[in-house]
Amino acid sequence: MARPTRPLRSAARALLRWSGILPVALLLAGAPAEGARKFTIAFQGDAATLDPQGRNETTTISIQMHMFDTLVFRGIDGLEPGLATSWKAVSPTKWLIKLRQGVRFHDGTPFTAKVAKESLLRAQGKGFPKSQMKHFTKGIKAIRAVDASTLEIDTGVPWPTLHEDLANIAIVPIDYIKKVGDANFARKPVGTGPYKFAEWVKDDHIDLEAFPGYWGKAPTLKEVRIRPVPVDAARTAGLISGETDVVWGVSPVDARTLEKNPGVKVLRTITQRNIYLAFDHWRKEGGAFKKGGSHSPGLPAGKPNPFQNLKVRQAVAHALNVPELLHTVMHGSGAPATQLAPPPSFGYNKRLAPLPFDPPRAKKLLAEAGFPAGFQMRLDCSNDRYINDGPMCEAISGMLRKVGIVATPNPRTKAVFFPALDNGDFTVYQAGWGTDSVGPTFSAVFHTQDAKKGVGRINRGHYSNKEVDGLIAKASSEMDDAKRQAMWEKAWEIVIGELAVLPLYQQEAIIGVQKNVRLKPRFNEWILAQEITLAGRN
Amino acid sequence: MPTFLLKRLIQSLAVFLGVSLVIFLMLRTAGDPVQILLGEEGTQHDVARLREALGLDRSLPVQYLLFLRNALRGDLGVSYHHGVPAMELVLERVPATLELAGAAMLIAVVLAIPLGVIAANHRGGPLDRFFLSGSLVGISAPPFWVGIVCILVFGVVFRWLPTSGRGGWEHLILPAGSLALYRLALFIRLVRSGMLDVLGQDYVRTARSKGLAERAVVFKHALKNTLIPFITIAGLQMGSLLAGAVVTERVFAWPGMGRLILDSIQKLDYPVVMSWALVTAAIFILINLIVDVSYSFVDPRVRSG
Repeated sequence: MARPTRPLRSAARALLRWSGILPVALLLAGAPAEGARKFTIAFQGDAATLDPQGRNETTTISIQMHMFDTLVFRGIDGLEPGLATSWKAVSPTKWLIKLRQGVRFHDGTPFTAKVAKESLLRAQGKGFPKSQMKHFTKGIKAIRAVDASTLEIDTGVPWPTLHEDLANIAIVPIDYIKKVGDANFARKPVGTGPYKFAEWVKDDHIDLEAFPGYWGKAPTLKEVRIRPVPVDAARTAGLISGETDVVWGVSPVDARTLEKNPGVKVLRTITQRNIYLAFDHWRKEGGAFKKGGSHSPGLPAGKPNPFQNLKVRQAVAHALNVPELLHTVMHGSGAPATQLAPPPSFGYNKRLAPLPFDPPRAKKLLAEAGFPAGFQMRLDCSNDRYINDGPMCEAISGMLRKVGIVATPNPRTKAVFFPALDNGDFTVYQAGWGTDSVGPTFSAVFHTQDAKKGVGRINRGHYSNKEVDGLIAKASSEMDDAKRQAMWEKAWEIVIGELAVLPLYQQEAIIGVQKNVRLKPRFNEWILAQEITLAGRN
Repeated sequence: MPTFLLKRLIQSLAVFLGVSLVIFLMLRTAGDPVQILLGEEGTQHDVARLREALGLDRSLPVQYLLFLRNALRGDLGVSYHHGVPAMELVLERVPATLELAGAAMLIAVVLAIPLGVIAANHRGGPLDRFFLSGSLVGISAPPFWVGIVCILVFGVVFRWLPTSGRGGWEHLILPAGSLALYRLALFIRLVRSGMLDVLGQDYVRTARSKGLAERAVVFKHALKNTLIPFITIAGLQMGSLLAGAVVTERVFAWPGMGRLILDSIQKLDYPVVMSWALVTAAIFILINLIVDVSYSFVDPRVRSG
């Protein structure tokens, strides 16, 4: 190659000089200046819509929950009374919901039993076919306003989790919506929540003001601005420069830098997002992919599918050093998982422990399973869906290689990766699962696949166990909490014992805040201004 | 002129049709929007119902014909993610993009012309070499990196300017400046090489030997003749800026079209991508028209030809 020209060399020198500034700048930056601006929370994305029944997506819901209430509120530590003061199943198929009295919407109209009923009907799609909350209303067969303060819900079949479903459905101002229409309601929402809507400049900011007539505790922060800032580094920069008070989704690398900055704090919590490996349980041998075909595409043609053998699945578990993966790939962010559920959730089995990192045992199990020399496989994964998912997939492949499983990572964009999974184009894949509702988790991930019944959609490896199917059916209609808890614990024991999937770790949510901000991070990743207080105030 | 415009209009329609077909085919092979909308946790029933509701269960040719039929009625569909008419989403973001692109072009053009002329006049000298190497940095530096460095230096270390968002003029400086950097570098080089070309030609020597002041020679005789390629490139650059300075808008959280389109592509929000493509095609056609017309003001030969 020719010697670089003079301008090229000086450009290279300039680049080197400037790039050295980045980490130094982050460290040098001091305490933020106090300004007269509004308390500002930066998310990664904007709300898709401000209609609380229009889009089921974390950021959108988190923003909407400033302005709206649900009958049952998803509190930091569990379900709490919201617009309902109490709820009770009076028979396996009948629930009585007591409604809070004297509550008003931001426009002054009262919250009544009729409004509650029609809000639930709207979520079901009545008069609002675009509702994305329909699947939370499956247990609702009929609703009756018994009197001004009582709602009776008939579930048709025993439905022990109705109150969990109700925690997802916002109560909306039916009369206002009828007057202005769905589209205008989505632009200028009116709710019963602690904040009322002030202004929305799309992709720039949403301004909220404390609602003086709020039925609950008045929030500390009177004026709040919510801003979408898509690039991680820019969000972090906004926190250091003092332009934002709270930033959602700090990357694990930035978190390490922020922790050294005296002006700000880093808050971490385990989330309900669980990263796991799934296996092809049903195809007998490897070969080229054909939709609906009988060959497992991640294995060499003609070779048997080792993952039908429990010992091989156990070998994979023993080959992976999850704490080490978290330490290196995730910069210490995340916690090893034992099941596809977060620890504070209903049905969680505390007795399960992860299989220990033990490469010699992994090799022994492989030999016992008839693969003393190991085998070749492809590991499918996304590279833009979960935190550091691409590098994680490569690191896992590296660890598998050390016990003789020659894994080749195949990271792809989510838009291509997930449809490929649905078509069956995988042998082993890495993906995430994020809900704290145990019933939907089991029927989607572990129930024998049956498209007609709508079960097993994520059970792409065709895991099938009659006992588990039976437990799912029984637990889904068991009204006694203690008995239901025991059934789900038993179900976890079976599916994890058989390694239907291999849970790896729970993703962490990292929030950056100014030093004076008091906030308890939530495992469902919401940030709510009404849960924020300031040091030196209140 | 009217026949010229009519011809242009017919050409534009063909362009629109071609653009829509290409984008349509590209999007449909890119993945599944339903999976992205509902996520892993969506139920089987919801997936099937949503696919049906969005019309994605039909065959590709049927989907395209339906799209064309609705487009002719002015209906480009409803955004999958936002649930509002897609064209409305795109048009809402035009002012922010116009502001950013206009400011960036203004900075670039106003600085580039004098700097390019100076560089050409000092050919080979230290000033020329400085502009040349500086412009190389400007052309080579990736916009993402330039944006982040600007944020860190001016927003975090010195705290002179806000790091992101749209508001007063102080919000405009960093994104417009970092967008202008590449164009400035490009334009300096264009003006410089155009000037060098022209300054050696006979008519310039004639003008000089007539005893005209150097200033008049350079600005009145030489510069004007370097402007045609400059206008062409500047027009194209303006077009690409208006289509959305995708990376810069994202880095600075600027609420413009570029950011919308990137989000929409990631979410496979077909109607929004399609509306954006048509708006962008319209912008390019319009700018090309303006460029063609402005040639005739700069160069009388175009008018007669």
